[in-house]
Amino acid sequence: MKQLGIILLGSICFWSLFSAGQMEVTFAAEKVTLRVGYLPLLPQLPLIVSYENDRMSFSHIDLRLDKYNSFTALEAAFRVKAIDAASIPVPIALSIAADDPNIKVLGTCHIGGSRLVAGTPGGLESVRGKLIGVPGFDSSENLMLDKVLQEVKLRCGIDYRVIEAPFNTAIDNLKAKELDALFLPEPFGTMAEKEKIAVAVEGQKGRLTGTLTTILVIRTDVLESNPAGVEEWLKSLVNACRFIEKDVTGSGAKQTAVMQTSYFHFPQEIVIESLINRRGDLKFDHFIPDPNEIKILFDLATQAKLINKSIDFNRLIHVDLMKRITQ
Amino acid sequence: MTGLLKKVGALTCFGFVLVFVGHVFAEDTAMIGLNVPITGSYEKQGEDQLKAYKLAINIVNQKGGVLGKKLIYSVKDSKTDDKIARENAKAFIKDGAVMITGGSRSAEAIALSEECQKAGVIFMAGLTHSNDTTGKDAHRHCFRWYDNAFHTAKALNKTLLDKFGKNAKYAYIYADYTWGVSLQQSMQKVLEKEGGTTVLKEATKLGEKSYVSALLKAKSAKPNVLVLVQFGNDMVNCLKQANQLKLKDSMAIVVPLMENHMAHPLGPEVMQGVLATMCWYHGLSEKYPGSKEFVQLFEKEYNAKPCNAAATAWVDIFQYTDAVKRAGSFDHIKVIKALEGHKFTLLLDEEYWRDWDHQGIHPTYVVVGKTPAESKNEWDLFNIVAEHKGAEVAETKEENPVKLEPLQ
Repeated sequence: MKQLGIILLGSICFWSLFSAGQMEVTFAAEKVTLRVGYLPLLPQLPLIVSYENDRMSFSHIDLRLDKYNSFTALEAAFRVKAIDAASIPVPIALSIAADDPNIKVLGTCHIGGSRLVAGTPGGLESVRGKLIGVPGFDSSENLMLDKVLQEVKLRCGIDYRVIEAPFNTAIDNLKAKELDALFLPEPFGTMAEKEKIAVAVEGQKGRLTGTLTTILVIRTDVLESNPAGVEEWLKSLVNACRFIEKDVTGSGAKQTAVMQTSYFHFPQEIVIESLINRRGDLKFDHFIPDPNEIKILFDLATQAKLINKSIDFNRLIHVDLMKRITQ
Repeated sequence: MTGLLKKVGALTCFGFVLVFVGHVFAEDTAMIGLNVPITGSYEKQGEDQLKAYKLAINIVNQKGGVLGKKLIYSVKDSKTDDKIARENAKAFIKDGAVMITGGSRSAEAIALSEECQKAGVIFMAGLTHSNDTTGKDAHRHCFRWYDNAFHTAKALNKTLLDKFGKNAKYAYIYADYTWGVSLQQSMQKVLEKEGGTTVLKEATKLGEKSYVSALLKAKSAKPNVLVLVQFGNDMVNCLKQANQLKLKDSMAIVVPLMENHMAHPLGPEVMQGVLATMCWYHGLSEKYPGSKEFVQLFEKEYNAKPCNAAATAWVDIFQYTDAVKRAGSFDHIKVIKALEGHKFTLLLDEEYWRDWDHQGIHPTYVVVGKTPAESKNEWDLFNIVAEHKGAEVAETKEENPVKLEPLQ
């Protein structure tokens, strides 16, 4: 019995020594992982530029990026806590907030970037009878389109129709004439123009373009458990926005175009063309969302029956951190 | 009528000024391809390189770029794999890179060098220590600042002879690819010439997780010195396991090529007494202003000390951009001419690029791991015990009879 005990003890010592040897080396891991979801869209560029520039120098977070293909998938990932933060359409953020107070709006890192292109030239009225692809029914684009086209006496479902256009097939759908127009974030408008299958609809500047579409959200528990890490990430995002702006104005957006290839896989010339021409009035110098714009989108989402509960905006909007960083 | 003409004239001039100013300020860019292992056995070294590349490029751009062009960069993960590195090089070349740099593994560097030579693109080699990079696989478009295996073997030789005598017995556990083989052979050749005996040569594959079997063989061979020719995470694992087997009690351990990111996770408890060489160490910032500036800038940006992988990246960017400025052109032939034989002072005292094999000539440092009591902070891990002048440890033309391609 004693011998058996010695053998057993010996075996444990032997295997613990060698299993330690088998282990791969791991380096000090005191940082908290921050999982950020993103979509391959130009307004989401700051998320990947921040990752590309700063992921090796964060002190409090280990930043992880997860790619999704639709806002619906991004929303689902956020709701089931597969990701901690994302830049999502305002109506989706409000819808999540209506169901679950475990969400905060931290700010935004772009303004504009979506625009309406159609197979035939013309003004806003020219979309009569057309089928328009939008990012989703609960996207800011869809609600804003409804509002702006009502102003020119066009009613959704009667005078024109909208359909959710998957980003990865939108251009093919337009080419195949399964869609007549697109109102999507860049670079899809530029891609359609480059393919010569669509042109920008006239009269949309300042009405459909240059508006608030997505906002940065984070789970409340993540913000409260790691405020230093979140602040570090926000600083990095702000720096990323400034980096992109400087690149657009100073270097013809070439560095950004190169950087996105590993994440978005868009042709560099498309990205450059879109960014330097400010297609959709896309700018990365806007960090604090206008509360009025959020409220307008809330009203539109309520009218569209996308949201049927009240929201505590004071609790939801947490932009003090962003204000401090950008000041 | 005269008034109208004046207005037209003024508008014309204004238009001309606008066009002229627009042309003058239209900025152009030049792309550099950064091929680094972000994953794989040498990922830590790749990360360190990437940090220094970005920092150096930002500094160049802040100072107005090169010949009026801003530098932009494209990063590709080589995954510590030479086949991937080769494909990356092709992609960079297709995208119009004016220079490619990187490679944290000699096999990668050699693949990149070949592609760059074919395409007429400058390759500033990163972390590559194999003799072959500037030896049998040398190319006219490739420049390597990092030490090679011959430098290391020659620099270590004197210290090993002083410490263990002429008849010492050596055991080698080496990585089985161009760098590991090259370094093991260089060490053996130099040491046997002095009377040393080789009692074991054990090859291991890249990315090996357990070195226990090889280490037990070394223990049985009873050498005076165990030479671990491993790098990156492989060396960390190997040294960790050698420490668990308490091999240091019966033999000295030498890691011919050391990099601070390998020592950092092990700490002074494991590293104390380990003998190694480096081409650069952050401790040199106390002696050389160029190193001081580099360490300060790197630390400010990344809150860590740079390792010699970063130093190599730093030298590569600044040496390339300076060469372009001297050449007055990005033309690869003019840049090669500007680099060949060029003397410069950057991180150390005056150093130079040899014109016939494109090896950077600078000192090699022999270091020994500090004890926990000696180590002042997490990055303070080595004492420099000897400095060997570059020209003394580098191969002669007879020892490295390389013939580079003619310039075309």
